[in-house]
Amino acid sequence: MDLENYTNVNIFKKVYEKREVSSIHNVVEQPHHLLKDNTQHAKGGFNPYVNNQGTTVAIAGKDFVLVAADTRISQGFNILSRDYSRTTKLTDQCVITSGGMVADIETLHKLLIAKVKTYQRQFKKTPTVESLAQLLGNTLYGRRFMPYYAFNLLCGIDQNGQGSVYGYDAIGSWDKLTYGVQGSGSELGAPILDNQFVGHNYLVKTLPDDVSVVEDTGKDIINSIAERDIYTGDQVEIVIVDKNGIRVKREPIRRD
Amino acid sequence: MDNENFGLAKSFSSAPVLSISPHTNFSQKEQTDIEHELNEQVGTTGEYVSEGFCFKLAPGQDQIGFMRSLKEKAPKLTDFAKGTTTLAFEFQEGVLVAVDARATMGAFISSNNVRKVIEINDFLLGTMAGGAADCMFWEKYVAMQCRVYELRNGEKPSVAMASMMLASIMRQYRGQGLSMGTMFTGSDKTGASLYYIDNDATRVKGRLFAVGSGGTFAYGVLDTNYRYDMSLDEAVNLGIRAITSATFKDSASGGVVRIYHVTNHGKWNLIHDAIDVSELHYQFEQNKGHTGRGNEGKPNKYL
Amino acid sequence: MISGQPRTHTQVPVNIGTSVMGLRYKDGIMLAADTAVAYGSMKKTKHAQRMAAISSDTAIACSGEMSDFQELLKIFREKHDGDVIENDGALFLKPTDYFNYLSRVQYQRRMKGDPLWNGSIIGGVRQDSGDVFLGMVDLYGTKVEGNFLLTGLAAHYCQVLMQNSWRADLTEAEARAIIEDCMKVMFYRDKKASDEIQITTITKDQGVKIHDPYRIQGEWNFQFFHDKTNEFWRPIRIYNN
Repeated sequence: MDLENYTNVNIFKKVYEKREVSSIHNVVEQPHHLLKDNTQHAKGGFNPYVNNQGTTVAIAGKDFVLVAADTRISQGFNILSRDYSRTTKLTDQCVITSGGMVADIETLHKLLIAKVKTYQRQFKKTPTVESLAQLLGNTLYGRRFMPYYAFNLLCGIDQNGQGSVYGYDAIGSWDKLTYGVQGSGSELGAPILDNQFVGHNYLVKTLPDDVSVVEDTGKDIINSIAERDIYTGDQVEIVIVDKNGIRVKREPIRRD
Repeated sequence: MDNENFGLAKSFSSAPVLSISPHTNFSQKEQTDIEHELNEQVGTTGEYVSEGFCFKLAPGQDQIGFMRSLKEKAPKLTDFAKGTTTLAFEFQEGVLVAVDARATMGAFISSNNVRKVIEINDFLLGTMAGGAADCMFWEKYVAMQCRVYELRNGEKPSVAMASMMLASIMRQYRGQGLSMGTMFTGSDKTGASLYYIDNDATRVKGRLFAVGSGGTFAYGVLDTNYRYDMSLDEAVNLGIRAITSATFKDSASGGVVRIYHVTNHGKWNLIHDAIDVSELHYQFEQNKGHTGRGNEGKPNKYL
Repeated sequence: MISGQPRTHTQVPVNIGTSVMGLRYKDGIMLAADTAVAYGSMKKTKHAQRMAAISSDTAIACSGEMSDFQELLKIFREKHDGDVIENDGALFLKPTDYFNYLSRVQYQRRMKGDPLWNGSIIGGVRQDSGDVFLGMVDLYGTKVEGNFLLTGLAAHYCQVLMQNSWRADLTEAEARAIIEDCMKVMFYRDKKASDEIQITTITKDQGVKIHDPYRIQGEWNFQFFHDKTNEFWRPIRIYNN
């Protein structure tokens, strides 16, 4: 046996043992909940989140705001429903539209309706879109440690009569936009919207003023997304909010 | 000083703790909010209660594990504003804050027009890096506490104190998955001052900070050209220059430049609200005598 | 289990009932399920009832964890009895009310990380107005309504069968034939399914009627079943062209 190699092996062994000891020491030093974490995730367990997908688009105009959303909800590759409405009326001048997990979306919408009603009873007036925007932000942040799996757009007519869209992430950061797209087809829809409406690189910086043109564009956008996104399709639901109230219409699109 | 909560957020007021400050509460059930009635009727695993809102906790007691596993459990859920360049520095006329405006989700640009300077109140500003919601919410919360302090004591809180409030909150929620890197600036009796606070509850007073993925590039420009005795115009130009250079090199930063100036006399001003960095780039390059397309000295290989 | 953690009974389902089906027909609603309960791959019992009436005009059929199904029934019984006592038997909850209630219960349990591991189909026909309702709730609290609903594996195997043969004016016999067709497919293809099935009908005239379980005749004598896929003598198409 080669003496040199023999020594080397011994050295390695020592180092190895030393590491073993130190790592055991680390494990013992670890907080209890971290140990528990490892065992729990090895088993799998219940995942409380599921994504039911779906796309929604909102576009603000001079004196109106338009929502175009698809009506499909899926679980994996299975279509659960083909006529699910992902847009909910909050006040006469305000709707919320969301993509993501249906159970969370419905809970969130229900909660907001309840909060709007409480507000109406308490202050004897209807909340403005601006207040609802902040309310939704705080509501979403209230679940910071178990977020709503919902991607929202809050759309309405503000106090000056202008259309406005508020975009959110899942934990309640929000911003006022002129148009927004959320859900499974957001990556596909965003470039079209940038091209057609008041985008950052777009030269015309005024809000659109013709409802019918915007409506056609909205339908086209959902239809184009349905062309390339497997989770979008079946029907397009158009919701138009203006000073006269809210109108809803539906049109069929690709069902495959 | 004899208060056991000294230094924590809840020690900043003498009001009943429940009504004013965030604190943890794992055992008590509070039936105050409509959200409780919908979610909490049958019992609860624990929650954070603060005034006007309550934090619903994830099932089990393993918050950290839950937050960590969210990425696999709910893809896209935790995707929000990540890359950024924000900078702020002190100079003789106060503090200058300059930020970009890009929010990215992975490779997708979710917005090029984000407001990364949060106008906390008329004498405090905070910048936004990391989780946009965390920055927005807690800086707004500090605004509320500052107002309460002002009403109660008849004077505005110092910037040191306001920044300590935020740092204390971050300390209380440390390890719970919050994500925040903010430069907290403001102006009080002693003039303008600048702090850096992040989600590990780091709180550093300093002269010059740049935060975010483009921060390294910004430091390069800043450190070369920074002098304490700059005039406001020079400072603004330096801010614009640093952000533009950072957005040019860092693809996760971009959009527009916004510049704020915090004066030494108890207020801040918005100097520039959205200058397109693309235009700035060509402008700077053309001032050098270049085209801005980066083809100087190269043979034209097309055709 | 580490002490101090909240109790979580069913993070993994144990006694599993396989898919259930429900469809609307001319007179009302038909719910169907087989009677097998599986414990892993073993059939623990082949004679379990997996559907129940929860009020005079509403019935539920459940797939998934059977202990949670029993828990659900307990919750519904308390709800129903409380409702009857409170209103002195004068006012009853509608099928949609039970549906929404179930969805809230499921959502609440999901928030606790301790779900009732069921896919449930609720059907009902209101005795006063004759409104027909059919809905499905899963363990997250997702609500789905439809003319025909399937849970579990049946949602994969029988969706197309149902889609092609469902009409609004199905008679009871036709509806039963469709259900039996679907159940047969499930019996062939789902290892946890059995050939003993049970049907509940809900109509305006008769209310909830849970029929006795009976056996469907599976046909196993197809040539396809005789010929093993990988046996070498099997004629393959290349010879025939």
